[in-house]
Amino acid sequence: MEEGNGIVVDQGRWEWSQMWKKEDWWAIWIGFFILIAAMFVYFPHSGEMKEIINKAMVKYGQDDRRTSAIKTIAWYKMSDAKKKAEVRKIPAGKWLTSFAAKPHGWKDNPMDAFFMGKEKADAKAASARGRYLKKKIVEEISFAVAFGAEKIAQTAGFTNAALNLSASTAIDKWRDAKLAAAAAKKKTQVKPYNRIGKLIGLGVFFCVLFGIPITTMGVPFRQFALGFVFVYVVAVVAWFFSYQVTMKHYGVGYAAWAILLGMLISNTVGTPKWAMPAVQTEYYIKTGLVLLGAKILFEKIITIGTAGIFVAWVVTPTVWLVTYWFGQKIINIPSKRLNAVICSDMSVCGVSAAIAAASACRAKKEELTLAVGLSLVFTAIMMIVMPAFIKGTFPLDKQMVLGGAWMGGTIDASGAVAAAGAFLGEKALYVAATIKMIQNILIGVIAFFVALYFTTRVEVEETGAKVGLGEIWFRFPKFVIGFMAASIVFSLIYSWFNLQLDGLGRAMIDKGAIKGGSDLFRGWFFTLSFVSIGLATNFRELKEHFKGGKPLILYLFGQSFNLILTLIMAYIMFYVVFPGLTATI
Amino acid sequence: MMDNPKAKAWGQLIFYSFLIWVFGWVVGPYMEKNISIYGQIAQIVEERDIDSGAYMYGDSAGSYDGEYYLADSFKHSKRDDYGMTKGFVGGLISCFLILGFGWLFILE
Repeated sequence: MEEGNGIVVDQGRWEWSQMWKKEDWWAIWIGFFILIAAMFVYFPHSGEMKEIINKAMVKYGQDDRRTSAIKTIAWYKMSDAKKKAEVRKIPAGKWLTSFAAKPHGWKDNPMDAFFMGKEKADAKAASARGRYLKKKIVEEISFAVAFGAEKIAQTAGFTNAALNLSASTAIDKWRDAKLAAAAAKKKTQVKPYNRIGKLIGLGVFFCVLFGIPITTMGVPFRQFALGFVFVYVVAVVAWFFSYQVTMKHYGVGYAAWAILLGMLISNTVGTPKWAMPAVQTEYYIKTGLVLLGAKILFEKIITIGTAGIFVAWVVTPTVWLVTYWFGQKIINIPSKRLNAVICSDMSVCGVSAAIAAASACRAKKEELTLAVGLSLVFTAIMMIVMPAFIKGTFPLDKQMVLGGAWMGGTIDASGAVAAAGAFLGEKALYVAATIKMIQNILIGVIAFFVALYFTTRVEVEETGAKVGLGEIWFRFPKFVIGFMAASIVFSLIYSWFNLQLDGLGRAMIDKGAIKGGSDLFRGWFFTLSFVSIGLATNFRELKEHFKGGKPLILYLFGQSFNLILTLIMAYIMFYVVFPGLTATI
Repeated sequence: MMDNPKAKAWGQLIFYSFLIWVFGWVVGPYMEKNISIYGQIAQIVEERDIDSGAYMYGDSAGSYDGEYYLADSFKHSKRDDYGMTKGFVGGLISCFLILGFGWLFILE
């Protein structure tokens, strides 16, 4: 090991034993173990999913084929029926979902996060029933209107533009009413629950999952297990706070709570020494990132067409590079790692991109904390300000698509994007969330790019030694390979399912191996890593990194540039180059 | 008490925990009630059951729905400017060209 500018850099020779002695490799093995287990659970059920999709197509297909001029009621019904194909709904999937569940949402009574008796659940369901019935009546009325309008458009053979528009508008209103009724119905299905036993079981599972491999890295299992109890309890408390109703409204998620609680403990009463063997930031984070890789499915970049790819994949690297240049050349940020992590979270997709970039360039935990903190603060502000600004200033016909694309390309976190999009309307939510999703896929590219840059250039500069291919391989963060491999393998499987039957990929991968497998654990692993970051972070060291407010200036510059460029690109792409495609949305 | 570092540390922990309570149970709800835009966002988050603290697509309601809606809409419209068009491939290549340009000229 060699130290350069305070950053520890590995120097040495590749040895095969690293594959069972280094956390990078263990992250890959644990991640792959979970992914393969999910495939074993779900893949034998593809036949049942095919049946559901085929049934939907048989039931509504003929009606849907009447026209491609508008999206008819039959088209929506077929879409809804196809969406019911979710392999995670098999009994094993339901059990896995309930086993890995986080604490419940709660308002005033903290016990509601873990336990609810039958009496209280019944009372809640009964109070929600009235609201649901009202929304159901609105849905039925709007359906009758939509049905009538569609019939009139059909009598003209769907060739009259005015009648088509009137039918589309009525159908859109019915959809809004249907979604509102569906959400209200969900609230009537409150069931009693007790999460305490399963949370303990999940903690034991994680302890074994991480504890056995860590013995090969020189940490005794007993010591790890003891410390893990502490880290896991703080992680549960972080979820508990993030699901409190006010925190949910403001988008203060688990990452913020995990870091905050960890830092509160470490900077007041201090992190207990016996807990330190389980404070394994890199180990948890890299395992979570390998699982994240499986979610990066390349076929999805096509979802919103060429316009989307320009907004998400052309603007993002441009903003990343310009902001990085600004940080290095104009405000002279001393740490290239901090610069790269802030650029990634601000230009790509907030916390997930920050942790991927930080692990790829081996940033210090304080640098990641700072970058994540900046992202969380500005996300909370932009989630409120942007939709209000769009509603107040954008022309009515451009609020949904242009506004949605603008928010999707600039607000860092996906949840905040969804909330801000929903504020404007259903279509804005869809456009915003999809642009964000395409940006999410860029994480892999950016993480690889950052890893390559730091391995071959920055670390060479820091150590002053020229490196050959062997040394590059030795230094390269191996979890990035696991991340990319998971992404490529799952992308291929996803496309293979879709080739068999349109929609099978989403039923088996999106709503199966990912939503019912890797996603169940990924959030937990990131929480464990953020708790570890907090427990090992010192306020004073953090302050050092914030010296002169340079990280804030960097973020502000980058985000302002991002806002301008994304808006211009979205306007040009959606309204100048592809107006026809935009009208289809 | 201030001379006792342990008591001071616990005092700080309790004080900061109190601040969290003040935000969650006093300031936050007050802002929702008195600042219209906050109230509206809170209502939407509640009604639609959006996990506004989610960090990755698919973690929040609407992400998958949006993706399916858009993809199916474009397929349904049968437009020839959707899919693996030259423009789309051009967009992908542009991304890598920009990164290549940055590698050569910005990240030196």
